[in-house]
Amino acid sequence: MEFPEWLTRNDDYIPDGKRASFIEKNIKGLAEILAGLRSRRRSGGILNRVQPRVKLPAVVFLIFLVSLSRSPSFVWLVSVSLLVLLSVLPTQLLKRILALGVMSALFTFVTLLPALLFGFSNHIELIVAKVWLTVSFSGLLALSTSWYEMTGALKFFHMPDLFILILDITLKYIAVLGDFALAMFYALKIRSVGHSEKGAQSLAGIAGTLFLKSKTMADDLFDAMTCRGFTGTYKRRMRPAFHLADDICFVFIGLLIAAFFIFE
Amino acid sequence: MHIPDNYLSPQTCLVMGAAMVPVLAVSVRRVKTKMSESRLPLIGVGAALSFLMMMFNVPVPGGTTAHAVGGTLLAIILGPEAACLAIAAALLIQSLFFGDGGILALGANLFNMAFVMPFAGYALYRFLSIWLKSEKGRMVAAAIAAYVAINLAALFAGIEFGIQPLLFTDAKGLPLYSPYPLQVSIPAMLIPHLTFAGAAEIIFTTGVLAFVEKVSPETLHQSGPVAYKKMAGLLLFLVMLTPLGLLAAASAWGEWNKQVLSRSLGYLPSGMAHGFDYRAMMAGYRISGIPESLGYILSAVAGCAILIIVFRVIRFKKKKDVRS
Repeated sequence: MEFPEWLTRNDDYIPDGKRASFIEKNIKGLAEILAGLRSRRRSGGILNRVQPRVKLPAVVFLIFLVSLSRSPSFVWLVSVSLLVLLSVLPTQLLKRILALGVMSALFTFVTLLPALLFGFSNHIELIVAKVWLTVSFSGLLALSTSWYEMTGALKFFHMPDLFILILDITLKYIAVLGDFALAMFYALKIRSVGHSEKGAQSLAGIAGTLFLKSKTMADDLFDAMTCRGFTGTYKRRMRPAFHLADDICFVFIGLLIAAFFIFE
Repeated sequence: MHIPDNYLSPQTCLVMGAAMVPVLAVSVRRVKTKMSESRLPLIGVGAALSFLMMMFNVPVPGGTTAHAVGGTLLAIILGPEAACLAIAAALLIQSLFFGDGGILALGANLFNMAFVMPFAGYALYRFLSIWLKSEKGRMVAAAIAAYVAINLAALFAGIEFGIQPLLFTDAKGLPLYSPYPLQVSIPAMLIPHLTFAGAAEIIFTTGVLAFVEKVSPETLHQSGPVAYKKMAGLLLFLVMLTPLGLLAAASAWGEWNKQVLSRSLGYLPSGMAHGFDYRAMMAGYRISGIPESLGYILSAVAGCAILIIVFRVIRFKKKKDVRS
């Protein structure tokens, strides 16, 4: 048996091994995202008890009110209620919401710095507080609600089925394709030695393969749906009754609406 | 007892601040080793409790006000080091958000209220408990310790005020900062605290201790579980009562603003006129556009929530790295 010519050649290659390679960075990032997607369990404390079909409009409405309000008193009131809500949340969720809110508020403040330097400092606190509030509340909604519940709530508000279908499939296939990409990165890692300068080229290969794969997967999904008789309509199985937590949520929003008009 | 900015010279503030650094560092280390993880949020509850107690201003004859601090109470519930951290956090929030107590003077305020008070109160309480062993006896010991500790803290505050005109004067001999000498400042600080604020401190200390003893005696044991829901109920109860603190409308001795001081003194000490000026977001626990009592309640709620959040997020113990 004859070896091909390239296999008989000697390579003078000494890996420097200091920097984490391009592939490893990608693997780490991808694995973290996937783990984050998978671990999205219901850990919202008292927020779990509020139904998504109450939570979703409540948060949308709250953001609406906060954005419309021009009165610092109202923004204070909502800030204080957010602080109280945060103080009773599970620690993990609390930390994530705080990080999210503080980062966005900080970013807003930095973008507003030029205005401050030119002497227009009247509403900076208000704008920063509003950004903090809206980001925190939407974060609370997103992190305390699973995607299944969210699509259920969307259906309740007569969102078109096509939209729900797209959202549903997108979310599922982010995880499926992410797994596939991760497997390809592992394969690449096993076959490469040391530090590679051509990391970007391999990325293009992975992206291309992923695209082709997604196309076959889409065909498979279509076939599977046809086989199971899926006609593109989503049905809600049951409508759970309102509980105390939902009522509290309603009362809270009602009080804030009242406050909005009082302070305006 | 919250010394505002510019009443103490920057040098005094620096010395007091420097004195507090090792105290806080040692407290953090002791809390790390002594306290169990599940009890850490209790420090936040304690801080919120102290924050609320300081909002109940008691009117004092003579036109000033004073308030309880709860240093001894927290030291008995949490241990003196954790009480030190709790009160320090409460004072920091008060100065940053509510303009109560100065930013530069924070070191001095910490020294009086977060160091002298819990440690002295706790030492006296332990000393007295040698003889007063029964349940009633321990309550008496706590009351005496709380009374002595708040007065000791007031004495220190009085001394800090009083040494300013001795140490810092301008070319004409006029004081640069706080104008009143020791023979004025010490009685002025001690009289309210020996009478009304001391009484308030005793009432709060024994009241809260009796409450905790009744609803969850295991909270008082250093390693026992904590009934957080009941403590939250206590905080809520106090929050609802905070507008009572507005009944005493005057400001406390040594906490006047510049206009009031220059009117009563005839001049404004130059160090104060050109001093450090910090504008807190909710200065004086008031929110513009909201009725005073509602604003006071909102401030109380916000302060408590911030303190509880802070002590839930802070992790004193480093998580052991699983990978290594």
